[in-house]
Amino acid sequence: MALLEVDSLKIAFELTGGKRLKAVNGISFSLDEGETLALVGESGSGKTTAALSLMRLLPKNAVIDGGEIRYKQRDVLTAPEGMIQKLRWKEIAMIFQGAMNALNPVLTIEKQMVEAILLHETVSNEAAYARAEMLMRRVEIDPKRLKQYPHQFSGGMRQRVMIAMALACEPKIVIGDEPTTALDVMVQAQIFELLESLKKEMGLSMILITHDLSILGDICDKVAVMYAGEIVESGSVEAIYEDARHPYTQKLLAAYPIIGKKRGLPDFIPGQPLDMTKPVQGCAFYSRCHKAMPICLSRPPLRTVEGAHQFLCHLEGEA
Amino acid sequence: MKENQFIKQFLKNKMGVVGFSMLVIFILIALFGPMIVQYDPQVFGERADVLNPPSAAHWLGTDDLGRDVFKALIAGSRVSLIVGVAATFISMFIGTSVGIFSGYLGGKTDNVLMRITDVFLVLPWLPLMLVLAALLGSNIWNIIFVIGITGWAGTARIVRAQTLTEKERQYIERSKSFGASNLFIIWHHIFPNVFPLVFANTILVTATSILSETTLSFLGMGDVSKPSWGTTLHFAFESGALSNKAYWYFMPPGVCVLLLVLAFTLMGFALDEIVNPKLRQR
Amino acid sequence: MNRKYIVKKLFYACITLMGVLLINFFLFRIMPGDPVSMLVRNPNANIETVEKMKAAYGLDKSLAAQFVTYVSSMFIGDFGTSFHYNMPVMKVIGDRVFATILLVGTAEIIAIIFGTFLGIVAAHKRGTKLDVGALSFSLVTYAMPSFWLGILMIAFFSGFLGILPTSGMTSPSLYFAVGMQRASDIAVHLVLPVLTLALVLLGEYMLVMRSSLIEVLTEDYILTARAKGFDDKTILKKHALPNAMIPMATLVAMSLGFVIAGALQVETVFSWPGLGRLMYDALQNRDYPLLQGIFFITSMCTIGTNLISDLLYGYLDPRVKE
Repeated sequence: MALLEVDSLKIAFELTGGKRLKAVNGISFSLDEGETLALVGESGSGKTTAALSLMRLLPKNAVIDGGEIRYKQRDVLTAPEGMIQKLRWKEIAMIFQGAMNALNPVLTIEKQMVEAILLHETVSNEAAYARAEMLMRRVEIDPKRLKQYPHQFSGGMRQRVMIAMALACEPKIVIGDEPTTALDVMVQAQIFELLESLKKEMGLSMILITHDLSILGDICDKVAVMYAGEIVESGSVEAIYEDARHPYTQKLLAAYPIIGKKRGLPDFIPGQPLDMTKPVQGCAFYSRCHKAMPICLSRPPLRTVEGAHQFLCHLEGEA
Repeated sequence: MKENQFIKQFLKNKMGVVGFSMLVIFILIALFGPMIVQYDPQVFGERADVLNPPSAAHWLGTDDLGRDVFKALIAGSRVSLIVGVAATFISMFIGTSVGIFSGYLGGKTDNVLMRITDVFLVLPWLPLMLVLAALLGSNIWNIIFVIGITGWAGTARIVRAQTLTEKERQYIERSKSFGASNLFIIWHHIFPNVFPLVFANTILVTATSILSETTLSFLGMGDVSKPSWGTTLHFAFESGALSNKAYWYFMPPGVCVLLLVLAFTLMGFALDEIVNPKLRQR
Repeated sequence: MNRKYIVKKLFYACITLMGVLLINFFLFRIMPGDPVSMLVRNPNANIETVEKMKAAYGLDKSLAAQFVTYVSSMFIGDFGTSFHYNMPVMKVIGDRVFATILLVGTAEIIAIIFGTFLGIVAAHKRGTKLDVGALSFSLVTYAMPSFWLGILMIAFFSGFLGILPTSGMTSPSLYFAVGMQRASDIAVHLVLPVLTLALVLLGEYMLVMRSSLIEVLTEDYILTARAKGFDDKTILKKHALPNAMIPMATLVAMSLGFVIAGALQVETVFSWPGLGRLMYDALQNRDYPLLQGIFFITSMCTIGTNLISDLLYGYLDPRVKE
């Protein structure tokens, strides 16, 4: 049985002036123990909204329009708030993007790390502190720096602190929301290396949210590509890298060339992401698709290539 | 921002529209009121006219010298508005100049100007105004000068900050490389971009200036020949209107000040929301 | 907070102090109607005091020399002799300090407690009727001259309801009372002035607390705290307030200096025998040495509280480095 299951989840935001923004339009995926899933897409594709809903962290103006989220067979969306508070960080933790703002500027790292441990576990202050020291060592930062404030760390270090913090309560699932944006390429690689080794060590399941398909290779098992609130293609990493079928996935792969593979010059995707306050007719990618056809104005079918590799398109698709 | 768009946004803002309507009414009263209603503060009433409650002859009753309170109110609107606006003009002129030059020139000039600004920011404004008014003498020009000279420091700070960000824009560098003089750049590039902020700030400073004028006049520093609402309140308080329960004497001028200041404050907040995108949706 | 920051702020405070001294010096000397010529015109002054004044100011010496004497006399607390009271200015001021501190202190405590609390509630219930009501309230108290609010208080509580005394600090009939009787007499007189001043301050404090908390609540680290599994109450207490209190604390510290001067309006209306009322009387009597002394003292207060506010900021916010 899967650890986490998401089934036809729909989320909308109620905006001022009575408008509704449909951020997530019926997505489904599952995550097994020890597995890593990548949610890939441009900003505004609904991937962060989907991730936040897993911990029920959506802002107040968000409405669940339908679907289910099950963690260990229990319904997350209808569980009482007290249960959810126990689930957060202890079962599912999150590495936020831009750790500069995700860490409280007026509290020391120690305080922010220890408070989470003390909230979820009945351990002494000393034991909690000892674990914080151990975690800092694990992410290769001098434990003495626990006494310091977030602004005293560099960007890459802050992200590592954030990772250590996410692991504080030994969660089953860690969600990484663009964990390496705003970091330079060298540091990015270091962070991914760290995540990968931590994953193996602790048997973590992970959900990585990113716009960059090229960095997933070694760490991910499955990929789900999102566009305008829908999963337009999903499958194993190999299937997506070697045999992408949806035109959007193909474009994404071309936009971020994978190191070590010959793919020519980086491509770009013309046009703007969709205005998601307006209803979509047919395929959401229609207006930007280089293979668009008249039939694309009607709802595209979900096609299965083989096994778990699926995509949402009128075209039969070829690699 | 284009003017049309600006007006559209302002009209959408309820606070702004309410404030603006109130202000228009006050301006009309100040403009035309004194033409219709004659009032001479030097002409006192008969003994029987002293502290009469409101009646058909005196809509808002009479004061301790038998003068009509309603007429005094009409005449006072002009003084309160003129002093408030004129003093604000001085404040904005000094504040904007100091802010722009300090931000644009930077270095030592900036340092010196900002230390001076600090002094004015930290000085207790009310005692300073009172001392200045007492030393200069109480006539309307001195009052305007005193309020204007003490109220510019906050504006200078805001304008300086805005100038610093404008200065970094590329076209400024380009103008410089074409050999444009500093004054040219300030007048043609910096000032137009700082102006919306200055404008919003002007409205808020006017509210403060009117309050300052009222307070100064209430404390006896007003120009007796040109009585403002504050002056009326001063005489009401000094003559014991309170213990005589002459509500018609001390209530109306206070309400007028409150409404006028409220009008400017509402407008100022509305403009601030438009000019400062950060504040929007808060 | 590092030493460099403290030294810089201390240095700025010294510069401001010099500025105040300069203004104070020239204000009472260069302006039309300098103190001595005014003194001559003052009917209360006799020849002896005029001579004393001239000697005290050393008007025969150069301006620079005068300035040096002036500054040194300021620092030993020698502000000259009051025309009106015929006593050293320092002594006249000293007699009034307690009344002002009592008034301002009580009002500040009330305003801080209620302002903070209402600000938190308004931010928490943003957009509700309660929030709109609190906002309107602070807008109105802002737009109202404080002295007029005092007048309204008198009219309502004393004129209309007929309770609570309206002026002074003690009742004449209880002039010789001591102990509890005197304390309760002062307390009764304190109610209306304190209420007035507290209302004026409260509006501003509430507004600042509200907007600062609203801003903090949208920050990412609040989301992090929620993700960690904390409930709203804990998040507010442990994560939001420590940040939101920074602007609040610095504002309160800074306004403490201004409120001593600002209490002038309230003290005048209620004839509260504090520094503010003393300044008003000094103005009416054109008592320049006294005026200068009070002006200097109030300026010192604002410079001092401004410095405290800066240091407090550096202490509360670990990001202040420079």
